[in-house]
Amino acid sequence: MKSDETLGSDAHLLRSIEETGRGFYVAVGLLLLGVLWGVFAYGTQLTHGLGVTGLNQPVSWGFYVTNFVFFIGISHAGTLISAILRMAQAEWRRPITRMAEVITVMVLFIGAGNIILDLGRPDRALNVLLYGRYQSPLLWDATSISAYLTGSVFYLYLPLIPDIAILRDHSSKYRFLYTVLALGWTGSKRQIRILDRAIAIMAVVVIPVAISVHTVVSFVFSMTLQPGWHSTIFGPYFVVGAIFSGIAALIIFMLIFRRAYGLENYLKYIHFKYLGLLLLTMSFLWFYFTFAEYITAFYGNEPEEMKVFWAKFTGDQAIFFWTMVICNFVIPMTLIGIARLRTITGILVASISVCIGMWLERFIIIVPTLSHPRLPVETGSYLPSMVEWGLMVGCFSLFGLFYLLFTKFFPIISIWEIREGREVGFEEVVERVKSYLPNEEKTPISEGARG
Amino acid sequence: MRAYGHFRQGGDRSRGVLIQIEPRRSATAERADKWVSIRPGTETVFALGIAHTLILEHLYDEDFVTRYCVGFNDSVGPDGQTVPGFRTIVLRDFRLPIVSEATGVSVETILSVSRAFAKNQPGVAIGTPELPNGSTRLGLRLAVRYLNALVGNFGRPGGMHLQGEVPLGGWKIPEKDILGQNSLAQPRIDGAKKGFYALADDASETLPQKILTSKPYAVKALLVAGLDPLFDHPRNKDFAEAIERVPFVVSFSSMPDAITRKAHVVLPDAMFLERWTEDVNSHLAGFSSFSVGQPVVRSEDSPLGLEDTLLKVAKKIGGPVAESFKWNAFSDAIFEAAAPLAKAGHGYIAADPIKEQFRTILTRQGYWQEEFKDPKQFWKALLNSGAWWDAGDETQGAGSQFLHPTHKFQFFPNGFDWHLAAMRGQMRQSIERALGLRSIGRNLFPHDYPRPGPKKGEFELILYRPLALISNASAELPWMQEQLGPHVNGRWDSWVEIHPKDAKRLGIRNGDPVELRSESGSLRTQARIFNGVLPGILAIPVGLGRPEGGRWAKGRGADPRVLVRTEKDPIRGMGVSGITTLRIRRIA
Amino acid sequence: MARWGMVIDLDRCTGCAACGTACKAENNIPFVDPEESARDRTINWMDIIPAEEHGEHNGGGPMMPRPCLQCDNPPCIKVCPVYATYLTPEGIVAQNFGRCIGCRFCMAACPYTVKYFNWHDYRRKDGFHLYENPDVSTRPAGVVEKCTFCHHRLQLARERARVEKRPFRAQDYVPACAETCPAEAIEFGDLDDHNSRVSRLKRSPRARSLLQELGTKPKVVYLVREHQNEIG
Repeated sequence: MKSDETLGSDAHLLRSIEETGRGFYVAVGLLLLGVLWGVFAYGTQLTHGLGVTGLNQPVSWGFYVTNFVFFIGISHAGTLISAILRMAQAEWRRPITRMAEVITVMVLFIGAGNIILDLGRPDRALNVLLYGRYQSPLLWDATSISAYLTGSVFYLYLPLIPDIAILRDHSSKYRFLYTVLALGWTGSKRQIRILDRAIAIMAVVVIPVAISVHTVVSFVFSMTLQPGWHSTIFGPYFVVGAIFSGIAALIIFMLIFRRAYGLENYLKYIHFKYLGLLLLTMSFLWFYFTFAEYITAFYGNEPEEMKVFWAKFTGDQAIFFWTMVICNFVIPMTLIGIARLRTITGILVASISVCIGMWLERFIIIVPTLSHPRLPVETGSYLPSMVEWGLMVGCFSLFGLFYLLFTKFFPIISIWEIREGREVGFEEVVERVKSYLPNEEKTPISEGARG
Repeated sequence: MRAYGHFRQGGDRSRGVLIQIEPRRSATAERADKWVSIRPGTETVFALGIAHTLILEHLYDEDFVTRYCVGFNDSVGPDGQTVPGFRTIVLRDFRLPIVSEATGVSVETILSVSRAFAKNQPGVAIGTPELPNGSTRLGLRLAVRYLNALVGNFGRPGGMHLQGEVPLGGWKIPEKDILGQNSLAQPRIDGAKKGFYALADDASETLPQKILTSKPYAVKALLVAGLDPLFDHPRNKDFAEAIERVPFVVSFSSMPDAITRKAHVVLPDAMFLERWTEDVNSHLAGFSSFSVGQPVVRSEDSPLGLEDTLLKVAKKIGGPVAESFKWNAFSDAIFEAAAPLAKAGHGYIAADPIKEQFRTILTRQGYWQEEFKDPKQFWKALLNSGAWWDAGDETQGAGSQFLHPTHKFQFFPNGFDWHLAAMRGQMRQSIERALGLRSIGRNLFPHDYPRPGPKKGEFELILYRPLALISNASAELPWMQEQLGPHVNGRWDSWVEIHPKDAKRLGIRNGDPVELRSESGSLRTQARIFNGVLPGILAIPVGLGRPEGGRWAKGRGADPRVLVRTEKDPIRGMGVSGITTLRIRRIA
Repeated sequence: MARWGMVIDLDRCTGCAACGTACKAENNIPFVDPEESARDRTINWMDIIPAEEHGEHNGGGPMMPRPCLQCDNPPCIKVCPVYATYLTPEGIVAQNFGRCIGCRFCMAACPYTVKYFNWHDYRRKDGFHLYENPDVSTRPAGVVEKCTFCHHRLQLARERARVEKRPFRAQDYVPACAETCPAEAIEFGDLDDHNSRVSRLKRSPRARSLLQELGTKPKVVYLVREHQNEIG
């Protein structure tokens, strides 16, 4: 048995697996309650049909589709951000990537699950495979999401292998599980080379897939003729929104686990500052897209578009619309934009606000368009039922529960990558930074010019 | 409605023009070329305003008025005094500014409607009361008839026609037995044909009171068919009390309505699809027709039709009663009634349009061919097509249109003068008032008695019956409940229509629960914002709010008749709902 | 092959809703309970809707019937993930109740809002089911339904012609609404037959497609009311 010496201070990262405190049980208990509520709600829905929701004619989509888009959006937190940071060789990524990747995998299940929740006949869901019509954007979603899910699982698993090997060697629990999952990792040069290469390939592959996912999610709406949906900007708009909400969700999770598992030494202010600034950038980008989306609708002044437009700006949906603008733009701009307010708490509040705002954005895209159909002229209304609230709470609880359980089996911060950062990171960065700078030799350029 | 389709896009004729004069923008007003919104209860004045314009601008048919009308010009009475004629009264009393003031319709509109009416001839003026059981408003009917007379619209194509008699047979008035004779010797319990109800055939309005006071005698048995007096009767509260005093109540209702719950015997009538029906149709087309409907659904538990039940009862009674009702089934009675049609010398079983056209031409030239020798064959054909009609029955010539001995149009009808002449001043006045008439000299003339207008903050109420609730049983039909008022998305519940401006002023939003309060009572329902009622007016559909009934009607919606005063009607004999003023407020 | 279409003359239409009621009887359209109706879940394959825009919540305006518009370029079929709604060779936008997974994408995509969802199992067991039309299947909970141009009547008419050993004629097939309309405002027939009444009416200068600008090419065409005769 290897001693803790090889792990050094990083042994701390295994403590969450080895030890289980009261807080864990309380959290699991609470989350289980939420999940139970969701299960109960879904049971009710299965027995009585979708009638137990607040959906109606013409508002035939509501919370479930909102949650679907929202969760799929959150999923961009992970794989995409982690892949981009990896490719950009941002050294501060090391303690973040694992958390981000876990979010993706967990949330994709729940996001896709919301489509099942929304089906009137979940028992016939397999018809999509049997009789699939590839013209339907829903099938594009199905394809894209399953590709992303597969990619993300691999992308989570690959960097996990060395850590599993560490667990196999150090942990007293689940020895068999770790032995199988570690795939005989020994940490040889060859293995490391292959792993690095695999991770690099996956990072490249996963980025376009991730972007395609939210693009086709937006196509569900923009491929129809409906006012407020039929917009060319929707693809990138959704992707930007997805990354935006993803970063916010990532920050929240990082802060929760930093507190719960005492990771202050790993997740430092600088990480939150960088992610916060990224969030701020996305906030501006989001605002830019939102502005472009609505200004074009407003200038076009097409009557059907304007019905939806005014419903959002001054009508019955105005409260949601303006809350969204405050949550997504005003609050992050204030709390992160002003350096004095850019504390950990400030960033946390901004992140929570962005999550709420982005959920509202999904809601505000779906419901006002449906409640203001071209025909008949009457407007519809939508008030979610307890079943829908229950399933929403259930989904969020399940998400939390999955995440919490993951941390009980695997280290939430990539041990080997941190170690790699310590061992080779410095030299690499120095080399890299050197390569950015003008060469030290004085002659080559002038000589070459003369020659 | 088929006629409406033809009226608008007949193909062989220019498009018909429709002008609707009504306080509320009803389904008809929506379809009209022009909707004239008018203050409730002032239609008579409006019609006379049109008459004024027609006369003033010489737009009326002078030839017709001279040849076929009596009372247009001034005349000299038996006492040597000048009796003012129609022309004089209209020109004197119905100047347009006065009419405009009373009706709330601008002078320009009255002029344009009048001119359009004169221009688009042949055309008819039609006037009906707001509700099926609403007031007779004889004055309004008379005023509308004046308009048709002024444009010479009687007995010509596209004008008014007297509907011909249908030569039915077989139904003799039964011989009276001793019991019958004795019964008829007693005074009528409802007091019709005398006093205020001198002009009425029956006066059910007084019935609850008479039962309660046992005057002139106690009622021992009450047979109720076709309606629920505990709901449909304007004095339904009194009726509920009165019904307790009757020792034997029979209800023929097919629904568990209020009277059925009180009845000692229930003999449920078959629903319309389960039973035989017959009808001598009255319609605007002007020809006579007779239709027969046979049962189309029949299950083992379908009850007997009302008529068949009565035939069975007659059989049990035996004696002269059984002899008078000699048929074994109602269908036999219809068969016997319809048989003479086969040999009437005119009219045919309804056929396809081409055949129909050909026959009409033949009939007009005086030809008729017997279609069926065998009465059984005729009957079979009648059942197959459903109707017999006499399309050539449009009696031609203006003179034949007036039943008055002079065969002329009477501007001052004196048909019921002798009833009124015998009455003392007070009674006469109240009858005139209820009919919308007033005395000018010896003559009666249409008149809208001014009602107290709404005070500040008050509204005027109008009641209307939506198409989906046209019959008493409609509220029992879920599909009708689903489409009570498509114009305001009204389903399964009552509502009150309010103008957007009023709603905004009172802070009422679409669908808000509201309370209405009038002198007579109060009501809770929901608001529907509708610009088809004028500001200051509220409209409520009638037909819901049944306290008893089948599962779909019981307790659904509200009955707005609690808000209105009960008025008496000297011709219909039934207390009717008038227009009232009321207040509305939102319930938090 | 015929291309079935309908012309609704709004100058003849009285807005009486007889077409809608006939449709419900013909197609076994369940009435939803009052409570469900209050939740805006009433099913009206042939709905009676305002013919004109008149501002929010003012109600009124002339009403007009609105069946499924049976587009030649239907936005609904493209989004259906399982071919549960599709265009038949004769141009009818059909709905396969047995395959529909209830995702309601077609409802969201239809610009005319003609699609209805069975939020609950609305099939009745309390006696009403005895009056159902045996030619039309009833719909379980969780599937989308809509006007099918009374497609079963086409099948019946074909079968009848076959039994009677005669060729099938276009006039053998009439949907319940067209058959019922008391004002004879609904004309139905083969649009490809240039001599049919329906195709002649469709070429009328009064003919308009609902939301023509969307390019859905509806086969249900409205004849607008003739401009109001001049009165003041």
